[in-house]
Amino acid sequence: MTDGIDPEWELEVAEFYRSLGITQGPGDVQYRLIALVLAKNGVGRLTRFSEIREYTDRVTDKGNIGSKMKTVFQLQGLVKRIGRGEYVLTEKGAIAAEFIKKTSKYYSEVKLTQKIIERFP
Amino acid sequence: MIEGVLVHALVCLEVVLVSHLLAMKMFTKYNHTDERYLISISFGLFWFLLGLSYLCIGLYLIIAAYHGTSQISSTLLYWGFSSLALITAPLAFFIIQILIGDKRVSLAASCSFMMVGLIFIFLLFRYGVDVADIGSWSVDFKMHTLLLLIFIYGSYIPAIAMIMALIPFVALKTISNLRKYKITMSLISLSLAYDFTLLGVMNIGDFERLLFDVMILIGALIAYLGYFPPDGIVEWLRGPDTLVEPVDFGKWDDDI
Repeated sequence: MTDGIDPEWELEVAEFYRSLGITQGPGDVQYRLIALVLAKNGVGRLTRFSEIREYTDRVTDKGNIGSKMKTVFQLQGLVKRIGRGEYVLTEKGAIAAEFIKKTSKYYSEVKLTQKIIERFP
Repeated sequence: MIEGVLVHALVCLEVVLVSHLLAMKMFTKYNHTDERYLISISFGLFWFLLGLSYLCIGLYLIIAAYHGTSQISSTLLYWGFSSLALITAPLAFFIIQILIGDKRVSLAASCSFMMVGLIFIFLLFRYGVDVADIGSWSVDFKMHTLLLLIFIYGSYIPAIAMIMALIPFVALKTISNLRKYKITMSLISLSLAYDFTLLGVMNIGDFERLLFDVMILIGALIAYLGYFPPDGIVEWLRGPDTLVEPVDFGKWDDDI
Protein backbone atom coordinates (compact mmCIF):
# COMPACT_ATOMS: atom_id res chain seq x y z
CA MET A 1 0.00 0.00 0.00
CA THR A 2 1.29 3.43 -0.90
CA ASP A 3 -0.15 5.13 2.18
CA GLY A 4 1.56 2.84 4.66
CA ILE A 5 -1.30 0.50 5.59
CA ASP A 6 -0.53 -3.07 4.63
CA PRO A 7 -3.36 -5.49 5.48
CA GLU A 8 -1.04 -8.53 5.21
CA TRP A 9 1.40 -6.99 7.67
CA GLU A 10 -1.43 -6.01 10.03
CA LEU A 11 -2.71 -9.58 9.85
CA GLU A 12 0.76 -10.88 10.79
CA VAL A 13 0.96 -8.46 13.73
CA ALA A 14 -2.54 -9.38 14.88
CA GLU A 15 -1.67 -13.09 14.70
CA PHE A 16 1.38 -12.46 16.91
CA TYR A 17 -0.77 -10.77 19.58
CA ARG A 18 -3.41 -13.48 19.30
CA SER A 19 -0.69 -16.07 19.91
CA LEU A 20 -0.02 -14.24 23.20
CA GLY A 21 -3.68 -14.54 24.15
CA ILE A 22 -4.49 -10.90 23.26
CA THR A 23 -7.49 -11.46 21.02
CA GLN A 24 -9.00 -7.96 21.20
CA GLY A 25 -7.48 -4.63 20.12
CA PRO A 26 -3.91 -5.35 18.92
CA GLY A 27 -4.82 -8.99 18.29
CA ASP A 28 -7.89 -8.12 16.18
CA VAL A 29 -6.99 -7.40 12.55
CA GLN A 30 -10.34 -5.70 11.90
CA TYR A 31 -9.83 -3.30 14.79
CA ARG A 32 -6.27 -2.60 13.66
CA LEU A 33 -7.22 -1.78 10.07
CA ILE A 34 -10.24 0.37 10.97
CA ALA A 35 -8.21 2.38 13.51
CA LEU A 36 -5.35 2.89 11.05
CA VAL A 37 -7.56 3.96 8.14
CA LEU A 38 -9.37 6.46 10.39
CA ALA A 39 -6.04 7.76 11.72
CA LYS A 40 -4.72 8.14 8.17
CA ASN A 41 -7.40 10.77 7.53
CA GLY A 42 -6.93 12.39 10.95
CA VAL A 43 -9.07 13.59 13.86
CA GLY A 44 -12.30 15.28 12.81
CA ARG A 45 -11.85 14.34 9.14
CA LEU A 46 -14.40 12.36 7.19
CA THR A 47 -13.72 8.68 6.50
CA ARG A 48 -16.11 6.73 4.32
CA PHE A 49 -17.03 3.12 5.05
CA SER A 50 -16.03 2.23 1.48
CA GLU A 51 -12.53 3.53 2.19
CA ILE A 52 -12.23 1.27 5.24
CA ARG A 53 -13.45 -1.66 3.17
CA GLU A 54 -10.68 -1.14 0.62
CA TYR A 55 -8.32 -2.46 3.26
CA THR A 56 -10.54 -4.81 5.26
CA ASP A 57 -12.07 -6.72 2.33
CA ARG A 58 -8.85 -8.70 1.92
CA VAL A 59 -9.04 -10.09 5.44
CA THR A 60 -12.71 -10.09 6.43
CA ASP A 61 -16.26 -9.54 5.06
CA LYS A 62 -18.39 -6.39 5.00
CA GLY A 63 -20.79 -7.54 7.74
CA ASN A 64 -18.06 -8.01 10.33
CA ILE A 65 -16.66 -4.54 9.74
CA GLY A 66 -20.06 -2.90 10.00
CA SER A 67 -20.69 -4.70 13.24
CA LYS A 68 -17.25 -3.72 14.58
CA MET A 69 -17.85 -0.06 13.73
CA LYS A 70 -21.11 -0.11 15.63
CA THR A 71 -20.32 -2.29 18.65
CA VAL A 72 -16.77 -1.10 19.32
CA PHE A 73 -15.85 2.15 17.59
CA GLN A 74 -19.18 3.99 17.94
CA LEU A 75 -20.10 2.51 21.31
CA GLN A 76 -16.74 3.43 22.87
CA GLY A 77 -16.72 6.89 21.30
CA LEU A 78 -13.72 6.27 19.06
CA VAL A 79 -15.65 7.51 16.01
CA LYS A 80 -18.68 9.69 15.44
CA ARG A 81 -21.18 8.68 12.75
CA ILE A 82 -22.15 11.75 10.79
CA GLY A 83 -24.09 10.14 7.98
CA ARG A 84 -24.78 6.87 6.19
CA GLY A 85 -21.38 5.18 5.89
CA GLU A 86 -19.57 8.33 7.02
CA TYR A 87 -17.47 8.59 10.17
CA VAL A 88 -15.04 10.99 11.82
CA LEU A 89 -12.29 9.98 14.22
CA THR A 90 -12.48 11.40 17.74
CA GLU A 91 -9.47 12.31 19.92
CA LYS A 92 -10.11 9.14 21.91
CA GLY A 93 -10.04 7.19 18.66
CA ALA A 94 -6.74 8.83 17.74
CA ILE A 95 -5.26 7.57 21.03
CA ALA A 96 -6.43 4.06 20.14
CA ALA A 97 -4.89 4.34 16.65
CA GLU A 98 -1.61 5.60 18.10
CA PHE A 99 -1.54 2.62 20.45
CA ILE A 100 -2.11 0.27 17.51
CA LYS A 101 0.86 1.84 15.68
CA LYS A 102 3.02 1.31 18.76
CA THR A 103 2.04 -2.35 18.93
CA SER A 104 3.31 -2.74 15.33
CA LYS A 105 6.63 -1.21 16.34
CA TYR A 106 6.83 -3.46 19.38
CA TYR A 107 6.16 -6.53 17.23
CA SER A 108 8.92 -5.49 14.79
CA GLU A 109 11.38 -5.14 17.67
CA VAL A 110 10.43 -8.49 19.17
CA LYS A 111 10.67 -10.19 15.77
CA LEU A 112 14.10 -8.70 15.08
CA THR A 113 15.45 -9.59 18.52
CA GLN A 114 14.02 -13.08 18.34
CA LYS A 115 15.64 -13.69 14.95
CA ILE A 116 19.02 -12.59 16.33
CA ILE A 117 18.64 -14.84 19.35
CA GLU A 118 17.60 -17.78 17.16
CA ARG A 119 20.74 -17.34 15.05
CA PHE A 120 22.95 -17.69 18.11
CA PRO A 121 24.50 -21.16 17.84
CA MET B 1 66.36 -27.22 30.32
CA ILE B 2 64.31 -24.27 31.61
CA GLU B 3 61.42 -25.59 33.72
CA GLY B 4 59.48 -22.31 33.71
CA VAL B 5 59.39 -22.18 29.93
CA LEU B 6 58.24 -25.82 29.86
CA VAL B 7 55.40 -24.98 32.27
CA HIS B 8 54.47 -22.14 29.92
CA ALA B 9 54.56 -24.55 26.97
CA LEU B 10 52.28 -26.92 28.90
CA VAL B 11 49.75 -24.11 29.43
CA CYS B 12 49.89 -23.35 25.68
CA LEU B 13 49.26 -27.01 24.84
CA GLU B 14 46.30 -27.05 27.23
CA VAL B 15 44.91 -24.06 25.32
CA VAL B 16 45.35 -26.14 22.14
CA LEU B 17 43.52 -29.10 23.69
CA VAL B 18 40.53 -27.13 24.94
CA SER B 19 40.18 -24.82 21.93
CA HIS B 20 40.50 -27.63 19.38
CA LEU B 21 38.02 -29.80 21.29
CA LEU B 22 35.59 -26.86 21.28
CA ALA B 23 36.27 -26.23 17.58
CA MET B 24 35.61 -29.86 16.64
CA LYS B 25 32.36 -29.89 18.61
CA MET B 26 31.23 -26.61 17.02
CA PHE B 27 32.02 -27.98 13.54
CA THR B 28 29.67 -30.91 14.11
CA LYS B 29 27.03 -29.25 16.30
CA TYR B 30 24.56 -28.45 13.49
CA ASN B 31 23.49 -30.04 10.26
CA HIS B 32 24.51 -28.12 7.13
CA THR B 33 20.85 -27.32 6.41
CA ASP B 34 20.51 -25.48 9.72
CA GLU B 35 20.56 -21.67 9.65
CA ARG B 36 23.15 -21.69 12.44
CA TYR B 37 25.54 -24.07 10.67
CA LEU B 38 27.90 -21.44 9.22
CA ILE B 39 27.75 -19.35 12.39
CA SER B 40 28.75 -22.39 14.42
CA ILE B 41 31.52 -23.23 11.93
CA SER B 42 32.91 -19.67 12.11
CA PHE B 43 32.96 -19.77 15.92
CA GLY B 44 34.72 -23.14 15.75
CA LEU B 45 37.17 -21.77 13.19
CA PHE B 46 38.04 -18.90 15.53
CA TRP B 47 39.01 -21.32 18.30
CA PHE B 48 40.71 -23.65 15.83
CA LEU B 49 42.98 -20.82 14.59
CA LEU B 50 43.68 -19.71 18.15
CA GLY B 51 44.53 -23.29 19.07
CA LEU B 52 46.74 -23.65 15.99
CA SER B 53 48.58 -20.51 16.99
CA TYR B 54 49.11 -21.85 20.51
CA LEU B 55 50.25 -25.20 19.13
CA CYS B 56 53.05 -23.43 17.23
CA ILE B 57 53.93 -21.22 20.22
CA GLY B 58 53.83 -24.21 22.60
CA LEU B 59 56.16 -26.27 20.38
CA TYR B 60 58.40 -23.24 19.99
CA LEU B 61 58.62 -22.89 23.79
CA ILE B 62 59.43 -26.63 24.20
CA ILE B 63 62.27 -26.38 21.69
CA ALA B 64 63.46 -23.14 23.30
CA ALA B 65 63.38 -24.71 26.79
CA TYR B 66 65.68 -27.57 25.70
CA HIS B 67 67.82 -26.16 22.91
CA GLY B 68 67.43 -22.37 23.05
CA THR B 69 66.23 -20.30 20.14
CA SER B 70 67.17 -21.21 16.60
CA GLN B 71 66.14 -20.39 13.05
CA ILE B 72 64.00 -23.54 12.81
CA SER B 73 62.17 -22.90 16.08
CA SER B 74 61.62 -19.26 15.07
CA THR B 75 59.64 -20.54 12.06
CA LEU B 76 57.12 -21.94 14.54
CA LEU B 77 56.81 -18.49 16.11
CA TYR B 78 56.06 -16.99 12.69
CA TRP B 79 53.40 -19.62 12.00
CA GLY B 80 51.91 -18.94 15.43
CA PHE B 81 51.63 -15.23 14.80
CA SER B 82 50.33 -15.82 11.27
CA SER B 83 47.49 -17.95 12.58
CA LEU B 84 46.78 -15.37 15.29
CA ALA B 85 46.53 -12.62 12.66
CA LEU B 86 43.64 -14.41 10.96
CA ILE B 87 41.36 -15.02 13.97
CA THR B 88 39.30 -11.85 13.47
CA ALA B 89 38.04 -13.04 10.07
CA PRO B 90 35.86 -15.90 11.45
CA LEU B 91 34.89 -13.77 14.45
CA ALA B 92 33.58 -11.03 12.13
CA PHE B 93 31.48 -13.59 10.25
CA PHE B 94 30.20 -15.05 13.53
CA ILE B 95 29.03 -11.74 15.03
CA ILE B 96 27.79 -10.00 11.87
CA GLN B 97 25.89 -13.09 10.73
CA ILE B 98 24.18 -13.28 14.13
CA LEU B 99 23.28 -9.58 14.10
CA ILE B 100 22.37 -9.04 10.45
CA GLY B 101 21.73 -12.53 9.11
CA ASP B 102 22.95 -11.65 5.61
CA LYS B 103 25.69 -14.00 4.40
CA ARG B 104 27.00 -11.53 1.79
CA VAL B 105 27.54 -8.78 4.38
CA SER B 106 29.11 -11.21 6.86
CA LEU B 107 31.36 -12.68 4.19
CA ALA B 108 32.45 -9.22 2.99
CA ALA B 109 33.33 -8.19 6.57
CA SER B 110 35.14 -11.47 7.12
CA CYS B 111 37.12 -11.06 3.88
CA SER B 112 38.17 -7.53 4.83
CA PHE B 113 39.57 -8.80 8.14
CA MET B 114 41.21 -11.63 6.24
CA MET B 115 42.95 -9.00 4.11
CA VAL B 116 44.15 -7.19 7.24
CA GLY B 117 45.45 -10.53 8.53
CA LEU B 118 47.24 -11.26 5.25
CA ILE B 119 48.85 -7.80 5.29
CA PHE B 120 49.99 -8.52 8.86
CA ILE B 121 51.50 -11.86 7.75
CA PHE B 122 53.23 -10.24 4.77
CA LEU B 123 54.77 -7.55 6.99
CA LEU B 124 55.59 -10.13 9.66
CA PHE B 125 57.80 -12.04 7.21
CA ARG B 126 59.18 -8.79 5.80
CA TYR B 127 60.17 -7.14 9.08
CA GLY B 128 60.61 -10.31 11.12
CA VAL B 129 60.42 -10.83 14.87
CA ASP B 130 63.58 -10.32 16.89
CA VAL B 131 64.00 -13.03 19.49
CA ALA B 132 66.01 -11.32 22.21
CA ASP B 133 66.41 -13.64 25.14
CA ILE B 134 65.02 -16.72 26.89
CA GLY B 135 63.62 -15.74 30.28
CA SER B 136 62.67 -17.97 33.21
CA TRP B 137 59.08 -18.38 31.98
CA SER B 138 58.88 -17.06 28.42
CA VAL B 139 60.92 -16.20 25.38
CA ASP B 140 61.46 -12.50 25.01
CA PHE B 141 60.78 -11.20 21.50
CA LYS B 142 60.36 -7.84 19.84
CA MET B 143 57.83 -7.17 17.12
CA HIS B 144 57.98 -4.24 14.71
CA THR B 145 55.82 -1.27 15.84
CA LEU B 146 53.89 -1.31 12.55
CA LEU B 147 52.86 -4.92 13.16
CA LEU B 148 51.68 -4.04 16.65
CA LEU B 149 49.66 -1.13 15.31
CA ILE B 150 48.05 -3.33 12.65
CA PHE B 151 47.16 -5.91 15.28
CA ILE B 152 45.67 -3.29 17.63
CA TYR B 153 43.76 -1.15 15.12
CA GLY B 154 43.05 -3.72 12.43
CA SER B 155 42.19 -6.67 14.60
CA TYR B 156 41.83 -6.01 18.33
CA ILE B 157 39.71 -2.82 18.41
CA PRO B 158 37.24 -3.91 15.68
CA ALA B 159 36.90 -7.32 17.35
CA ILE B 160 36.16 -5.79 20.77
CA ALA B 161 33.65 -3.40 19.16
CA MET B 162 31.89 -6.36 17.52
CA ILE B 163 31.87 -8.32 20.79
CA MET B 164 30.36 -5.29 22.56
CA ALA B 165 27.53 -5.22 20.02
CA LEU B 166 26.23 -8.48 21.50
CA ILE B 167 26.23 -7.22 25.11
CA PRO B 168 22.64 -5.74 25.07
CA PHE B 169 21.22 -9.20 24.39
CA VAL B 170 22.41 -10.39 27.79
CA ALA B 171 20.05 -7.86 29.43
CA LEU B 172 16.94 -9.03 27.55
CA LYS B 173 14.12 -10.06 29.86
CA THR B 174 12.37 -12.13 27.23
CA ILE B 175 15.00 -14.86 26.92
CA SER B 176 15.69 -17.76 29.24
CA ASN B 177 18.58 -17.93 31.69
CA LEU B 178 20.11 -20.73 29.65
CA ARG B 179 20.35 -18.54 26.55
CA LYS B 180 21.69 -15.63 28.61
CA TYR B 181 24.30 -17.97 30.07
CA LYS B 182 25.39 -19.09 26.61
CA ILE B 183 25.66 -15.54 25.26
CA THR B 184 27.43 -14.25 28.37
CA MET B 185 29.94 -17.10 28.43
CA SER B 186 30.82 -16.64 24.75
CA LEU B 187 31.29 -12.90 25.19
CA ILE B 188 33.51 -13.37 28.24
CA SER B 189 35.57 -16.04 26.49
CA LEU B 190 36.07 -13.92 23.37
CA SER B 191 37.01 -10.87 25.43
CA LEU B 192 39.52 -12.86 27.48
CA ALA B 193 41.03 -14.40 24.35
CA TYR B 194 41.45 -11.03 22.61
CA ASP B 195 42.57 -8.98 25.62
CA PHE B 196 45.25 -11.40 26.73
CA THR B 197 46.36 -12.19 23.18
CA LEU B 198 47.01 -8.48 22.74
CA LEU B 199 49.00 -8.33 25.98
CA GLY B 200 50.95 -11.41 24.86
CA VAL B 201 51.75 -9.89 21.46
CA MET B 202 52.87 -6.68 23.19
CA ASN B 203 55.44 -8.80 25.02
CA ILE B 204 54.89 -7.42 28.51
CA GLY B 205 56.97 -9.06 31.23
CA ASP B 206 58.21 -12.64 31.59
CA PHE B 207 56.09 -14.38 34.23
CA GLU B 208 53.21 -12.08 33.27
CA ARG B 209 53.08 -13.70 29.84
CA LEU B 210 52.54 -17.07 31.44
CA LEU B 211 49.64 -15.53 33.37
CA PHE B 212 48.22 -14.06 30.14
CA ASP B 213 48.21 -17.51 28.58
CA VAL B 214 46.58 -18.96 31.71
CA MET B 215 43.83 -16.37 31.23
CA ILE B 216 43.43 -17.45 27.59
CA LEU B 217 43.15 -21.04 28.81
CA ILE B 218 40.41 -19.91 31.21
CA GLY B 219 38.74 -18.11 28.29
CA ALA B 220 38.77 -21.29 26.21
CA LEU B 221 37.33 -23.29 29.13
CA ILE B 222 34.58 -20.68 29.60
CA ALA B 223 33.70 -20.93 25.90
CA TYR B 224 33.55 -24.72 26.14
CA LEU B 225 31.39 -24.64 29.28
CA GLY B 226 29.21 -21.99 27.64
CA TYR B 227 28.33 -24.11 24.64
CA PHE B 228 28.46 -27.51 26.25
CA PRO B 229 27.38 -26.90 29.86
CA PRO B 230 27.40 -29.74 32.39
CA ASP B 231 23.97 -31.14 33.34
CA GLY B 232 24.21 -29.55 36.79
CA ILE B 233 24.48 -26.06 35.34
CA VAL B 234 21.63 -26.73 32.88
CA GLU B 235 19.35 -27.93 35.70
CA TRP B 236 20.32 -24.97 37.88
CA LEU B 237 19.62 -22.48 35.10
CA ARG B 238 16.30 -24.06 34.20
CA GLY B 239 15.21 -23.89 37.85
CA PRO B 240 12.78 -26.05 39.85
CA ASP B 241 9.87 -25.37 37.45
CA THR B 242 11.02 -28.17 35.17
CA LEU B 243 8.63 -30.45 37.07
CA VAL B 244 5.82 -28.66 35.24
CA GLU B 245 5.04 -30.05 31.78
CA PRO B 246 7.10 -28.02 29.30
CA VAL B 247 5.10 -25.86 26.89
CA ASP B 248 6.04 -26.23 23.24
CA PHE B 249 7.05 -22.77 22.08
CA GLY B 250 8.82 -24.13 19.03
CA LYS B 251 11.82 -21.96 18.24
CA TRP B 252 11.20 -19.86 21.32
CA ASP B 253 12.50 -22.66 23.51
CA ASP B 254 16.14 -23.48 24.18
CA ASP B 255 17.81 -26.02 22.00
CA ILE B 256 20.51 -27.35 24.28
